[in-house]
This record gives sequence, C-alpha cells and structure tokens, in this order.
Amino acid sequence: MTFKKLFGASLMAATLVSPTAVQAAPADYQIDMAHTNVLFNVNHLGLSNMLGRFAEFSGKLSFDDENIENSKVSIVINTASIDTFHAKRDEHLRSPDFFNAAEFPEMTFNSTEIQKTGEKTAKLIGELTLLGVTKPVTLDLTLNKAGAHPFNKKTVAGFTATGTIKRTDFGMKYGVPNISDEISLRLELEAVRN
Amino acid sequence: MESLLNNPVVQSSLLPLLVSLIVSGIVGFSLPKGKMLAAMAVPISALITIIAISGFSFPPKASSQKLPYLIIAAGLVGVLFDYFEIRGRFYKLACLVLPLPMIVWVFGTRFNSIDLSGVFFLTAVWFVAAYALWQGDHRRAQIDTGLKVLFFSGGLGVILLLGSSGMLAQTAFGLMAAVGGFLLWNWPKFRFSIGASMLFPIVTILGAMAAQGLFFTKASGTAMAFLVPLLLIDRIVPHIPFLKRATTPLMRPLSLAVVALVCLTIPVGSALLLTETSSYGY
Repeated sequence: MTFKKLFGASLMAATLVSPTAVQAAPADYQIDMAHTNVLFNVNHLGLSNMLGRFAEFSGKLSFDDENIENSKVSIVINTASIDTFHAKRDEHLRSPDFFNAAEFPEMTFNSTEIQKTGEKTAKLIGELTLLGVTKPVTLDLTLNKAGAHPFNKKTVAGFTATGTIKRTDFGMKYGVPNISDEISLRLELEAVRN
Repeated sequence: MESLLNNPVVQSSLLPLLVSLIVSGIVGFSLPKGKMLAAMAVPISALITIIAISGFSFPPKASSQKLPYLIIAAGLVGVLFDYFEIRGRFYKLACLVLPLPMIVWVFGTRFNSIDLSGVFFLTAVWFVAAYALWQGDHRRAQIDTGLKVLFFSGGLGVILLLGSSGMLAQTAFGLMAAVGGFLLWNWPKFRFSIGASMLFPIVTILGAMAAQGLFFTKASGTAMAFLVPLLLIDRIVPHIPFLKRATTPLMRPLSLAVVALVCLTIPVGSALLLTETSSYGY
C-alpha cells in the first residue's frame, strides 16, 4: 500500500468517525409514561402539605448526554387529570376556583435553556403556561442516570426536576393565603431513546 | 385585620354588607342626587368583595377574572342612567343590549367550541338578564326588584356551591349581602331609589356567573332555570290570600320574602338532587 493510499484511507476513516465523536447531536427520546410523574404539593392552612399529581400528560425530550445544555424538554399536561387522592377535592380543583379545567384544559412547560451547574445537575429554565398566563420558571434538574437499560439494553435516561412557583402569578388567587400561594413541583422523568 | 379579611365567611357576608350599608348611607344622605344614586353602593361593595375573594387580574384571562371589569363597566352605565334619569325606551333598549356584550366578552374566542345546547343556554341567560333589568324601569320606588336580586343571588350561590365552585358561590353570597346592606336602608321605611346603578352591574355579573356555572362547573342548569320564578314574586303575592293584604312598607317586603323563600326551595332542592358530584363539604 502506497503512502498516498494509506493517507487517503486514514482521511476517510477520520471523516466517518470524528463527527459523531466530537459533535454529538441531541437525540430524541420517548417519555416512558410508566415511570414518569408530574407531582406537586401545596400547604393547607399551615397544617399539612397536600400531595397531588397529574395523571395525563405527554411530552418530548431531546437529550444530549455529552452536553446537557443542548437538551430540550416540553410537556403538555391535561389539567382535568389532577389527582389528589380525594375525588371531591379533585372536582373542586378542576373548577374555576383553581385549574379551571373546562376553560383551560392544558398546562404546558417548554424549556428555553439548560445551564449546567455540576457533574449531574443543571438549571432547567423554561416557560410554564397555566390558566392562559405564561411565566418563566426555573427548576433544579438532576440527571439521575443515563445509559443502557439493565434488562432490555435500550438507551435510557432518568431525571428529577424540582422547583417552586407562585400560583397567584398565573391568576390562581382563590384561597390564598389559607391554601398556600407557593406550590412545590416535582417532575420524575424516564425516557427511552428512539 | 388581614386574617379577618381572608376569612371566606367574612368575605361573603360581613364585608359586603357593611361596605354597602355604609357607602349607601354616605352617598344617599350627602350627594345632591344621593337618594337616586345610593344604590351604586351595591356594585362598589360587590367589587371590593370580588377582589377580596379572587383578586384582581390585569389583563383578565379567565372568564371569572372579568367580573370586576363587568361591574365597573355596567356600574358606570347604570350611574349615568340614574344621574340623567334615563327611562322608558332608552332604558329598555339598554336592558336588551347590555347582557349581550357581557356574554360575548366573558366567552370570547371560546364561542367557536360552543354547541347548539350551549347557544340555547346563553340565549336563556341573556333573556333572563334582560327581563330582570326590564322589570326595574318603573319600580325604582319599590323594594321588589331589590328583593328579587337578593334571593336570586342567594339561590345562585347555593347552586354554584353544589356545582363545585366555592369562588363563584362566595361571590354570589357576597352580592346577596351587598344587596342586603343596601336594602336595610329601605326597610321598613323606603329611602333610596333602586335603579340602574344597582341593577345594571349586579344583574350583569349574576348573568355572567350563571353562564360560567353552566359551562365551567358541574352546576345544574335545571336548578338555575328554577330560579326564574324569583323574578315573579311580586306577581305571585297578590294571588295568595293571607299575603296579598300585606301592603304596608313593613309587611309587603316580608310577604315577598316568604314567597321568595318558598320559591327557593325548588332550585335548591333540585340542585341537591341533580348536581353530579358536588365537592361541597369535603
């Protein structure tokens, strides 16, 4: 093999290999609904913290495991699917007093920026739209684990995002301060690479 | 003081009652046309009550956030009508027209998703609101219209409470208390005119709340329909032997109230029976 041929082969190999190694693009992931939860808690009269979740939602995740700042997430939540483990209270929460589910059936979160803060942590900055009002929200994001699933070997990633919002910022003012203005949010998300 | 104002019972009873009582007294006895304009105390009280209950949002997004704006707009129109003593043809025209922009604005772009039954419900709300306003034209010097609005607010409050909206129910009870505070000046001695200053804004937001209850809560439409006879209590009383003789300023309001209470049992009872899953009392 001449030097010319050897150089040409090396150049071709480098061209084929290096882009994927150096410029890893974010990959699309499908949210695993069986292992994803949108959770919240709210203080009631200073006595207790009521836990709740939204049972129905959908979302998109674009995740770059090399550089998390290139990742994006968007979630659409069905507000009528609120579940606080008490049917009557859930009915009240769907009413115009709170989530007004008939008038505003969806609540959305779209990430706008991710700022890496540590090896496995970041700030997830996005816009939350609730009751027709859109406000910026920052969540603390932790990448729990990313890699091959131990059983099916598919590429998976798991995250936890936590944060707090003020419901009055979104026009949900009924019952404040007896039912606290601050709502703690928690998103537990697991996704499988397409 | 702040915790007192955060108390739902105070918000929907004592606060509107006292504000209405005090403001109507001040306006009624101090302004040149006070006796004609004292009723503006009711929308003022209602506005304060609504802000205490559900806050003030600018710009309003949800239909319930539009209530304060409706009170202000309809209240200003009402005060103008009372101040310039507009009656007859123009008053009746306003009765027909006023509920329309209310309905259109409250529902906005959501009209696209309203089906035929929704159009029927909204037309019914418009008709009842226009009829309630219409009645007030020649009855400014009688307590009848005030009592009708008082009991209608209370009945609507119960239906909305059973329909899962504490906020709308509280607002309706607050309206009832605000009307009650004003009516205390008119019983047993009639002092202040019950005109457009009160009727325009209060009937407008009662209509808006009924429409919201129908579309956005589990409140029973049938129960709401049974509230309509409350607008006819002055026509019912003359047909009841032992009540028709009660014609004095002291006794006539009492006889009207008795009939209104009897009429209220039907919408309240049907709301209890027909509301799907009431969240009341959890």
